[in-house]
Amino acid sequence: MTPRPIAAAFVLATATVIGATAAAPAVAAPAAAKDDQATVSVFHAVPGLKVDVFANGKELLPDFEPGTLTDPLKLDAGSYDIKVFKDGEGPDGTPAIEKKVDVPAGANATLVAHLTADGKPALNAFVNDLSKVPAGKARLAVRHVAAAPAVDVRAGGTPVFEGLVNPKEVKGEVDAGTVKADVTLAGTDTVAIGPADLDLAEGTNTVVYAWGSADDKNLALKTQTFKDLHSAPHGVPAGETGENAVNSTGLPGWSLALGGLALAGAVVGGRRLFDSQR
Amino acid sequence: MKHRSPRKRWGFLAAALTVLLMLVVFATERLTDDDGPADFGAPLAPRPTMTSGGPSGSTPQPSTPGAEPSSSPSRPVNASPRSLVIPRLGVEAPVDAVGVAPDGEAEVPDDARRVGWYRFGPAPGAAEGSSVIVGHVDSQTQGLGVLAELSDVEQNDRVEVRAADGATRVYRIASRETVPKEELADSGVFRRDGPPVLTLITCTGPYLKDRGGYQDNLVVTAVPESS
Repeated sequence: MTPRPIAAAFVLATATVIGATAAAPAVAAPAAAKDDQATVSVFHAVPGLKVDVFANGKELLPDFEPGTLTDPLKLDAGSYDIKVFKDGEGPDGTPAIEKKVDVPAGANATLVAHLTADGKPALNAFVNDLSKVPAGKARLAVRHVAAAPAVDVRAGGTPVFEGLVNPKEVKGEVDAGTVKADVTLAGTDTVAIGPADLDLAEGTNTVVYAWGSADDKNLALKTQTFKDLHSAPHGVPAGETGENAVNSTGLPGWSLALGGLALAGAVVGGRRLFDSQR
Repeated sequence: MKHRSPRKRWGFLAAALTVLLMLVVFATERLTDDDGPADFGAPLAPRPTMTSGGPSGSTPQPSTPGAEPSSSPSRPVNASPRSLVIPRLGVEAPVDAVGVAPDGEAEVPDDARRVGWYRFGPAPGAAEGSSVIVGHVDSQTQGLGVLAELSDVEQNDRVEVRAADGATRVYRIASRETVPKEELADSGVFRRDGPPVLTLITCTGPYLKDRGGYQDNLVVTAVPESS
């Protein structure tokens, strides 16, 4: 495997807005986050390159190894100048990757340093969908961040997502459970990654990254899981005939009989009382 | 006058009997003529289950390569409940693990003599949340279901859940509540955090054939017996 030429590193000047869609009401902000904060995880998906990550000139992640995904970090909302340096070369050298990233309050995103389809280092922010998942379901998102052409994603041999290209994401809700997943070159049965068992737990969002480089034969999968997105079932249909309702809604015969007896008793008793007091 | 005449005494007796009978009729009517079995105990406090997605880490600590930032807690498989027992009422029902039907409602075992444990929620004995067991109150082919007995539970009745691993979890009935069907999902009975309870759910209330049958759910909550 050849190390990526750092000098030729691609520098991105375009600003990306993390969570342009995260501002939409459909995406719930994590309750734990303060109003003026955002939750950001960072995934290092450039093979063979140990880096230091700087945000606004301050070191955010030292000695960051390829294949590493951080726990979610709480960051103040705002604009960040993200620079990724080869280990030890920052912050004054030439960054391997540079990108301005806007982090809106309440957003939950994963920042990914990865390769483009043709193998150049890049930085992209993906918004994590933390909306509720219907009962019994799991959300599956696949992000193509590998130096590889378009791919299909299969579960149990059946394509679930087709024609996914770098650096896009596809997602959907599937029945919860374990699936055997693999990634094939789009439109073919040529397996590029996998198969791998994915545990798609109910009420979670499992994000799968296809990363690495096809040329260097180090394509791999990385998963990131977001929990506690479950919903309650819509209801419990636990009756069919109304038999129990009939038992309890109609007045039982015996109570009517007792009622009659009571009335008779009242008449007789009342009259006797009345008689005796005369 | 110290002694009542026999006639008068007879009159008092009849009047007393009358009042008693009236009370019985009234009570019966009250208990059964509106929406089913009466509520008792403190109703389950609904708790929103909204929590942060993923673990919250405030320190930028890269995890080791290959490690997952979060993983679902593995529940011991053998904690799955196998039978539900309410000794005082002679209830003993096998428990199936159930999930969600295509229409989004919880699955309920077809066999009205069996009950279903909602397998996506906590298992009985879990440290947190509501373990839900559902069962038919009546069925087309079998008449009254096993959970029709929930009409007769009383506060502090003993409930046992026997698990696949042989362990028995003991609960005491704490409350019974009639919940309109459209409010059940948001009532907190399916919460996965908060104090551990066992929640038994069946149907109750008026049965309106043209409006989907039973209008309410009967929700009985039991708390772990303090050891």
